[in-house]
Amino acid sequence: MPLDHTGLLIIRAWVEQGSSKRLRARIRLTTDVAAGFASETTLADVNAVSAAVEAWLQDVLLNRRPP
Amino acid sequence: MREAIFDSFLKRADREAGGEGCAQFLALRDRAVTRTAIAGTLWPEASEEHAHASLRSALSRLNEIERTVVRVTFQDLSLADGVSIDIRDARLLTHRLLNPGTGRDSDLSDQAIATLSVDLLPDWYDEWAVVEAEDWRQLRLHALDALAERLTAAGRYADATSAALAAVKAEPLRETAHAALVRVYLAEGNRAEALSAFEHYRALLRAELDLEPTSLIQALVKDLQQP
Repeated sequence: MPLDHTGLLIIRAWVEQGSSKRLRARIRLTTDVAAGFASETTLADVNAVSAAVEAWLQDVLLNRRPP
Repeated sequence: MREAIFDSFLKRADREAGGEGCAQFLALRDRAVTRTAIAGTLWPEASEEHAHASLRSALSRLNEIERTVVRVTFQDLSLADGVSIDIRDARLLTHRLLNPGTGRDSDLSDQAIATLSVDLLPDWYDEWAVVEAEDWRQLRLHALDALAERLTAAGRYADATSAALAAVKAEPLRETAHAALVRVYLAEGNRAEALSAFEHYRALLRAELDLEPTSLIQALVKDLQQP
């Protein structure tokens, strides 16, 4: 039986006034907190952020390390 | 008595001793916390009964230092009288920097830059710790901007550069920090460095997000760029 693992995803979002795309979302994530954060990225699009969250959830489900 | 939450026992030894973060949690709350509240926060997925049992177990495993700083009663836990925590001082520093007219000369120091350059409990993933860490991160980012501005106004350009660079390092795609750095260079008359800092930010923004800097920061270097 596989061990339980806990994933963690933190999104820090802010608005850059005056930019053509105002959203900034800094994402730090891991699919297993015991291993520490696996990746950090910044996105500027709502759909891209949603896709990143969905991909992370799939990785958590499959106990997969993010690319 | 003074305990440092950034890089002393509160960051490392407690984990090794198996104290489950009791001392850190109390230090960050900075007030008495009921046993029920601390048990529910530190063991959010456990039943109330199991959470209380875990708390009792953790308290029994507090290391020697923690036993001197944690006051335990039948109903609640708090820091012992006289314990000073550096995160408390650091938060006060940020509030003074962010509120005009409340600063001290000693706030414009290397120590202030060093304090504001440090993340809180960076290797902790408990929900309460992550929230506290993010709260501190936001505070310190804004405080570094303010510190850079005050140091610039005082003509201490080298220190102002350090403060602005610390803000850039903490959040590389946050334009406010890059703008602060450009302003420091402009204030000291270093036009080449101002332009270089801007170009560095522009290249980073293009590479990471395929975006251009806003007109606000572009206006700072408008007169420096070649036609």
